[in-house]
Amino acid sequence: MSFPQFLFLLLLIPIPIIFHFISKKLLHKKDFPSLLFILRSDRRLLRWFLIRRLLLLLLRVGVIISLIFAASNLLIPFPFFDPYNKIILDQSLSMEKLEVSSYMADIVIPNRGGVSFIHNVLKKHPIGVLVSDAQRNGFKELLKNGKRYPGINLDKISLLKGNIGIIDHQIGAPFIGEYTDIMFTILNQYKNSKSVYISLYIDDIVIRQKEVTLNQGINEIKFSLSLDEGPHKGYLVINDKDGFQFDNIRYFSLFINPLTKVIIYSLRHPERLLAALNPSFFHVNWVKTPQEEIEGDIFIIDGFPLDMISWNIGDSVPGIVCFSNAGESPYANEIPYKLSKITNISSISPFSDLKTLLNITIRYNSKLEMGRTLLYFRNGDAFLKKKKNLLFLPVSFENSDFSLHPVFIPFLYKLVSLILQKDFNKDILMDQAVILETPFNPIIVSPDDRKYIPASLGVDKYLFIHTGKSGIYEISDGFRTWGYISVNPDPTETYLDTLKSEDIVILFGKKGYNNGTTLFLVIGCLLFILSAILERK
Amino acid sequence: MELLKPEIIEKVGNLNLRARLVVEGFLIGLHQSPYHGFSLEFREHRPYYPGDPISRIDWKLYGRTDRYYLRKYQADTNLSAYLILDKSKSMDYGKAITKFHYARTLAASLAYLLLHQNDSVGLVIFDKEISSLIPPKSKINHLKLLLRELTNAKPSQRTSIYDVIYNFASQVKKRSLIIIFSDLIEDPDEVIKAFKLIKARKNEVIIFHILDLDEMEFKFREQALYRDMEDHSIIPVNPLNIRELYLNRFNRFLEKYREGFAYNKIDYSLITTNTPYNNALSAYLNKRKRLL
Repeated sequence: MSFPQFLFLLLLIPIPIIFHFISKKLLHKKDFPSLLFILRSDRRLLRWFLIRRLLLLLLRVGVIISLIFAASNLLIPFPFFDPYNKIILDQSLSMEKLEVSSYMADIVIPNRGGVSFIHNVLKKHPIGVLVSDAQRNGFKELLKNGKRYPGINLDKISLLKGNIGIIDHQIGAPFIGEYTDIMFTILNQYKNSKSVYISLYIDDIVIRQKEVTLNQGINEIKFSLSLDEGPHKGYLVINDKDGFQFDNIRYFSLFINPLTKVIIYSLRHPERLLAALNPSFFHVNWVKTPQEEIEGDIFIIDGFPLDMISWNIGDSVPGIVCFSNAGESPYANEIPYKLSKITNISSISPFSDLKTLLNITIRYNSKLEMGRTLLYFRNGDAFLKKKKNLLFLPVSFENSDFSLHPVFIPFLYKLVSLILQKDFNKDILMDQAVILETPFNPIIVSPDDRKYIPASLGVDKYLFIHTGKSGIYEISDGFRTWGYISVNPDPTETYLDTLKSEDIVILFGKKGYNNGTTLFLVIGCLLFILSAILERK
Repeated sequence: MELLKPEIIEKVGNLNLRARLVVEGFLIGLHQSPYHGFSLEFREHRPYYPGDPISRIDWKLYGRTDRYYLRKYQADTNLSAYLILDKSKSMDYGKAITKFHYARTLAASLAYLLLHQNDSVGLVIFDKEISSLIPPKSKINHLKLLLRELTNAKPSQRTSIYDVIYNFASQVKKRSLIIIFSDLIEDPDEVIKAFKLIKARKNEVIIFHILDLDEMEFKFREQALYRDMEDHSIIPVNPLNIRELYLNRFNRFLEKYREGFAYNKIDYSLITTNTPYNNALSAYLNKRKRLL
């Protein structure tokens, strides 16, 4: 807390100054028979005497000012500290809630909720304001040492003993006619199990609501939903019995694909592929004669001699071409120009090699980036690449053990959905950029109904960056909704991590403090000692 | 003797009265006539009788005759004495009694004493030059003139002892007893040189070096702007810091005088203004006695 009213004491400063000048006039002059034995009369000595008196005056005034500043507990920005005012805002999701406590701050909508609180705090603390609901362990320590950090005013904010947050979600096969599984991973960091209310909203309608008991640690809550074809938005909210909302809202988007007609070209009967795709939302046909042309949405060519493939299905037909030979691909050396485009694919991609591929768990919402070349290149060979609407896999679904792996079915689903390219939905974190590939000029509608037009990155590619607020962003062409982007806070926020030292540094300057009381007391003491020394001289 | 304390004597307004008070009080304390033994002129010898002071035995005569004889002096012998009073501004220093007042009273007392001893007494008052010079006379009425002159003297300018003594020495024709009352705040070498000159002309010199106790001890505490009383220069002083330095310098200054006067066989008495006058007179008489 600051006490700026003490600054009125600065009016006392003229007193020592006046006293100085009066005492200078009244300075005692003593007649002495001879100064022969004292010192030679020296102008420099007299000048030093006057300078010393002036220094003494300045030091004494400095002591008074320091004591007044210490009493006022002002936070003064010093050049060797960060010269700018710092306002640290807790961006946790709970800070978006308005009705629970007037002390919470809405950091997104500037004219509501905690903004007034911020203004009030700013009036008292011009520097170093922390606005937070203190739902992290680190803040507890801050509160314990609250006296050391007068810039923080958290006295009226009740602290929680723990937190419950949704840290992840996964969406299962989103196809029409099937139950779509949505699984939420919920972290309970209380020391005991906690009963909470869970509400699942789809397209702004509560479709599931139940009371569950969350054990300490990780909990998984699964919902099976039958939804209509097309894009959907939703979110899960956790409430405790007191109605207090935690960092516990999770936004998601999903796209329910239509029934897809799959044609499998294979000389032999493709048992594994059929088993993987049936029963499912796929309508599957097996064709063993390549010359046969059957209408379908997607083709899977597996274990077929290359020279027997009719390439008239070529560029315009989406499909997957599998090779039993995992060595060279037919296009290995023909598409070198594509190598230069592989800039955003991480070398630690789980698809970097087959061994890794077989060992990974492919999550339903894995962030497989769309692009002409998807994954990892090694020695110039495409391990898995897409040429227009075809994916070339140097592994056979039928002839390799890969199709026996548990990841095979979700992996296959993902490949199919990539090829179909009907899903514009995205799940990202706040402040991440989104690259959209749409055949139309997209308009993004933010959760607070702001409209954005993404920047064009070339043909059918757009960049959207305004994801600073969590929630659901709608992808539209101006007439209809094509999909949604769900934006969630960083899931690590949900964890009750201790406050990072960097955060404290940001608040209290590079030296770790700018506590007015301590600083000015120290300065005052130093000045006092200096003045005492000078006086003895 | 309590009555002879300077601060008490100083309460008596009339200088004549003060001098008389000092001398008569002093004589009462001695229980012995001062009129014997002080004169410079020898008259005769007389045989020694038990009870006579041994110091007055003429040992040279004893060497020749193997008998004890005492030296007897002629009481009315006329001695020419000069009282030289420093009236420089620095003499005006002192709380209860200034150095100048003390010196003036002491000079008046000695004038009284000497005139009643039938000696002739003159007076010189000086600062940077001789401001007043009264030739020695032995008439008792002469005392009035001396006292009036002493009464009218006021401390004023800075002093220049060497120049004054040098000039004065050229004016003294007759062998005289010269008694100086001064704080001697000047270059000791110059001052000693001046008195050496007087001494060389067969004069006897007695110096009363009159100082205030403050000068001797420098027990001040408050810092202030110290102003030289003679040249008015100002210097800021924190006494606590410079006391040791001051005392070193001052003692060296005094030591120089002591050694210089002793070497030149000049009587030198260091007197502070709180010293009773009888002490000062005793010092004078004792030294005179030893001298004779």
